[in-house]
Order: sequence, then structure tokens, then C-alpha cells
Amino acid sequence: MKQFVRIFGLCWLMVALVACNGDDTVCRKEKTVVVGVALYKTTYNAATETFTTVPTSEKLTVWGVGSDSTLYTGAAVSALALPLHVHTDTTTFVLQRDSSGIDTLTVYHSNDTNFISLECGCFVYHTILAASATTHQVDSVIIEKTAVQNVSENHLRIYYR
Amino acid sequence: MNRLRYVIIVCGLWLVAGTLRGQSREPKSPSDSVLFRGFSVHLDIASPLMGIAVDKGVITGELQFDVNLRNKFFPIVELGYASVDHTADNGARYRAGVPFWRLGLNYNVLKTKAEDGSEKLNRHYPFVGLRYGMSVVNYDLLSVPVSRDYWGETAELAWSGRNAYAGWVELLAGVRVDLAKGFTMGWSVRVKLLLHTALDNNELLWYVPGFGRSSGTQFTFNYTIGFNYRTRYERARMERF
Repeated sequence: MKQFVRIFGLCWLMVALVACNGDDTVCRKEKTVVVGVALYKTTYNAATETFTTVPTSEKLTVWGVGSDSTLYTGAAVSALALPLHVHTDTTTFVLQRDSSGIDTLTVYHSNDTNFISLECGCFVYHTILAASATTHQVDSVIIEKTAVQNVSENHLRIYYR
Repeated sequence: MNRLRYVIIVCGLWLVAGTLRGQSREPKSPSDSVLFRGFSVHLDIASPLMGIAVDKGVITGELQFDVNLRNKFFPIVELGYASVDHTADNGARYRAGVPFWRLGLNYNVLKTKAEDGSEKLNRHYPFVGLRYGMSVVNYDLLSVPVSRDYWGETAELAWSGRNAYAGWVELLAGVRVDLAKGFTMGWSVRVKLLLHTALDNNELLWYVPGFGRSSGTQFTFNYTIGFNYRTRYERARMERF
């Protein structure tokens, strides 16, 4: 009886261990990481004589310099998701506010290729080294986070006038 | 994954401790002085068939050599060779072809002694076992795609002529059946857990010969046929039954 219990216990253990197997071939849905850009606006309060900065929505048309397709086409947005180049270290976007002023946003970055798996291939992550923008409509741009490794974080802040 | 690793290691220690404790309770007999009872050589024929039927592009084969110690303990060496050439749906290709080895012990879970201390005859026996396996994998990773659709950028990366060692542990249970004239066959199921590799990213070793897919715990089945050589003492003992 003792031996039966021992063998049964071992069989159960083997089954339990095998059941721990997960599905290891599922790839992440997004194979592209993007730079998250939050839009802010600075306003002057004459009563208190202070500047206040608040999140804002802007009607923007956005496309990458060198690309034929637009990323945003005039819709009101409060944040942008911008894909960077994987083979060069400078990426420039055009930001057209309403139908008036045009600014360019340039992101300087390094690219880091990460092998995920045979089935999923490689992801290219980025590190933002610097960012600048022309100042027709934009007041300034600051870096909030340098590591670009997913699609859900904000990395830059653009302050509109 | 770490928890699973601890579970397997603890189970292995429990097996060893339990078997040694059980052994010490059995009364001593004159036959206890005869340690070596024979050896056997077995060829695994399940893994090559599984390679053809399930793991496309995997060719593998292995031999097992074990030594019979009092019909209870069976120290074992397993030597094999596996080659793999697999192309994923995205076009990425993995190639490797190297030998591997495993060291371990099988333990006959049947009682080998009667109440009076005399040895019993166990022509067929179920066993449990533990293995440590190792392989130095020479591998090629080819045509791994990198792309950024918006910019129309595509490239293929390759890691050619790389090598890295991999070590793993296996917990198994099986049956050894005595056929006739020394010929035997057996079945076993194994749970395998990759313990360590020389790489930071184990995914680079898509398939480790002797282990299997490097991601996650592996479960394999072996069916072996072979020959069992018994010592003169053991043959004489068996003739008495």
C-alpha cells in the first residue's frame, strides 16, 4: 500500500509539474514601440500674474519626415504615439496645428535590438538622447522619460503657446 | 519559474532521502555484500519518432548505459545527439546539431527483499529517477526579422556560429520490462527544467539538444529497447526462482 501511495504521489507530481507549462509561443501584440508625447499648454493668468501649465487637446495633423502616410489627421488629441526609425538615430515629425502653423519635432535616439524569440523576432527599443522643436506654435519640449520600450508611456512633453 | 525549480530540486532530494531511509530499514542479508549485479545498454526509439512526428526538423537519438546495484539503484549515463533545423512562420531560422549527455540514477520502487530478508525476484520493475543533463550547443540564428512598418524599414539579423552551454535537471518515472534472454524494454516520462545557460537570454537557444525547447518546462516520453547483462551471481540467484 505504501508503495502504491508513493507511485501515485509521484505520478500526480509529474502531472502537476507538466501542467505548469505555459503557452510560450504567444508574442506581444505590439511589435512596435512608440514615443508617447503629452500635450500641454501654458496660459497666463492676469489676475494672479502667474503662468499655469495644463494638459491640452489640439487638432493636429502629424506625419514623419520621409514617410508618405500621416499618423494623425486633424483630430483633437491630447497625446501622440510616434514611431521612431530603427536604422537611423534621428527621427523628425511634422506637427501641423489646426491649419495654421507648422512645427517640426526632432528626436535624437539610440536603437537597441532585443531578440525576443524565434517566433516573435526582434524588438527595437530606443533611448531618447535629446529632443527639440521649432517654436512657431510650440513653446518648448522636454524629456520626461528616456527609455522607449512599450506603447503605453509618455516620454516627451510638448508645451504649446 | 524559480518556484518550479525549487519544487523539482526538493522532490529530487525527497526521493533520495526517502529511498535511503527505506533501504536502511531492511534487514541485512548475505546478498547485501554483492553490490554489482550487471549492466544494460538501451536505445531510445521514441525520441527519434517524436522528432519526426511532432517536432518537425528535429532529429535526435540517444543511448543509455546503466549499472545494476543490488537491483535497487541504477546509476545511469545517457549519451545522445540531436540536430534541429527549424524555420518559424516569420522566416526566422534556427539550426543546431550537437551531442548531449545526462548523468543520474534510477531507483527501483519495488521492494527487493522479503520479510525474512531474502531477496525477491523483480524481473519487471517501476522506477523513478533523477538526471542532470548538459550540452554545449553550436547554433545559428538566421533571418530574424526586424521591421518598423510606418517607416517601411525592414532588416534581417543573424547570429551565426555561436555556442553556449546549457544544463538542466530531469525528474522521471517509468517501467523496465524483462523480455527474454537478457533483452529488455522500458517506458519513461520526464519533466525537464532548464537550470542554467551561458546566455542572458535563453530564447537565443530555441532548442537545446537533449532538453528540447528552451522556453518553459519540457515533458517528454521515452521508449527504450536494449540488452541487460547479469553477473554470474545474479543469474544463479534468478535460477533459484
